[in-house]
Amino acid sequence: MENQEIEVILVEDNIDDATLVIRALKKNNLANNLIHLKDGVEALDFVFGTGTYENDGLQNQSPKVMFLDLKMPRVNGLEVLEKIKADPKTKSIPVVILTSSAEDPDIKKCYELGANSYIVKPVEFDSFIKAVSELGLYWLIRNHPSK
Amino acid sequence: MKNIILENKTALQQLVSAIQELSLSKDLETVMKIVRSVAKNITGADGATFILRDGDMCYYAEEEAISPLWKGQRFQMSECISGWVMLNKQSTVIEDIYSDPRIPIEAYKPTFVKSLAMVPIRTVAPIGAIGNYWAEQHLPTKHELEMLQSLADITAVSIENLNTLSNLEKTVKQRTQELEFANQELESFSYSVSHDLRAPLRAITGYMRMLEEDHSEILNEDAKQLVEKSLTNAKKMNELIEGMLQLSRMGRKELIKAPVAMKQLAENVFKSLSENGEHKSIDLTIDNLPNVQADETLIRQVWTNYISNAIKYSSHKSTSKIHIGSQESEDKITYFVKDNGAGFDMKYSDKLFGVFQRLHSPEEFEGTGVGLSIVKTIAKKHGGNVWADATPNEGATFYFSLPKD
Repeated sequence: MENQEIEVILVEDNIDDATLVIRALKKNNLANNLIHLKDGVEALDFVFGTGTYENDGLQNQSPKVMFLDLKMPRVNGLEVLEKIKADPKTKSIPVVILTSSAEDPDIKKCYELGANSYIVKPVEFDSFIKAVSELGLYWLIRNHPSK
Repeated sequence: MKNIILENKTALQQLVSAIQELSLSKDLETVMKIVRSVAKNITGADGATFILRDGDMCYYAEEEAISPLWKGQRFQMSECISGWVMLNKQSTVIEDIYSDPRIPIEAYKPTFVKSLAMVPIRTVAPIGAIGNYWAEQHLPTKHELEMLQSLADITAVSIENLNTLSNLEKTVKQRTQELEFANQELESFSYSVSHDLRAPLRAITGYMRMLEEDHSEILNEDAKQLVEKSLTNAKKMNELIEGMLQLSRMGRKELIKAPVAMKQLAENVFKSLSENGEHKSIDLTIDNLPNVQADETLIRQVWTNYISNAIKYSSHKSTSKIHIGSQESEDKITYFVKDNGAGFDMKYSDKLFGVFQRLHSPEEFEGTGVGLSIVKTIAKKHGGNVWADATPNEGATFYFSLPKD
């Protein structure tokens, strides 16, 4: 794990939601190179190598996808998304929004800010497949070596 | 003699037309402007002022004169002739202001005034005064003074009406604001409650699934059934929360009105509902429905709820009969969906459109009890209404009315 590149970033403050997402990813052999960040502050620190992740964090890696919860304390998902998409170094990271309702008005805002797709929680296999397919990342599931 | 009558008539006519104008004025500024001009004209004065009482002060609010007087200035009640008129509740005429001790000479020196007449506005507890001024020594006639006092009396009534009106408007505005606030609070409350309620529910469902999928080898049949029942209930709760969310969204949504082709819309809704169900054939009659100005997305929701109910509650009959029609009156159009299904007892009809109210058990007919309250919210938002008619086991008719534009 240590020497492997981070492929999946999960930003989710709710520990139960995170557990379920990680399980869904595991079932698809996707949770191996995953990092779980517990709120927006951690996410930004990790992505930009600041705070607790100073001289560490993402560095020159290019993760395949970020799953980003919207409703988080301190710095929320919209703010994280805005910062990531505004920086040329990070804007190419595909971001999939995690929301608790398909009717969430924030989804529109997310797309305006450059989000690539969204999944309504609970994250189950079907919705997961749909979201990654939309991203053109279907190979990520199929070609991943099973362990 | 002829001339005087003519002048009087003109003054009287002026007074009459002032009364008419005053009765139409909507604010104090207009009232004051009308009064000061008319006051000057009916006495043939060289200037007129409109003074308002402001606590211990006389406020010279308006004026019309051959040269400036005191507009915008304030004087102590005790040091001003308008104050004297208000405090003594009586009018006064001063032919030579320089020989009257009540006059603050310094204030008059810069002006043209030699003579004046002053009448109080409202004789019981005066709220102001009207002043008339002459550049040459002059004594207004008794008749002129009477007309001036009449004008002041009418002014008092106008101002009181204005106050009543503005108080009423303030009260209405305040009440409306309070209501809007309470409504917003309630809606955002129910929205966040429904939102936050879903997180633990997701966890319950998720962990139950994990139990079912990852530990099935240690669960016996009984345990598996309990897991299944828990999942079913969690699903039911999720549907209830979804209903609440839908209802609160509906309450907050702004109407986007456009002409709606009602017959086409009802047909489309029926088609999509009868297609995706595993229903037997349904005997549908659909009349020519008048179009209406409304929010199509929301009206589609109304038809969806009514028609799906009609299909659901008539599904136990050998043949489902559904009739969609309308009635038109002068100011509204009423649409209805009639079925030959289970119906309900009319004594419970007041509960029908309440949130989470159900007249049938879930074993009989599935449902969360949110659909009809959503219909009601939509109709009310359009300024319309909902109601129903039924006979148990013979069928029900559900109505919604929308105003004609």
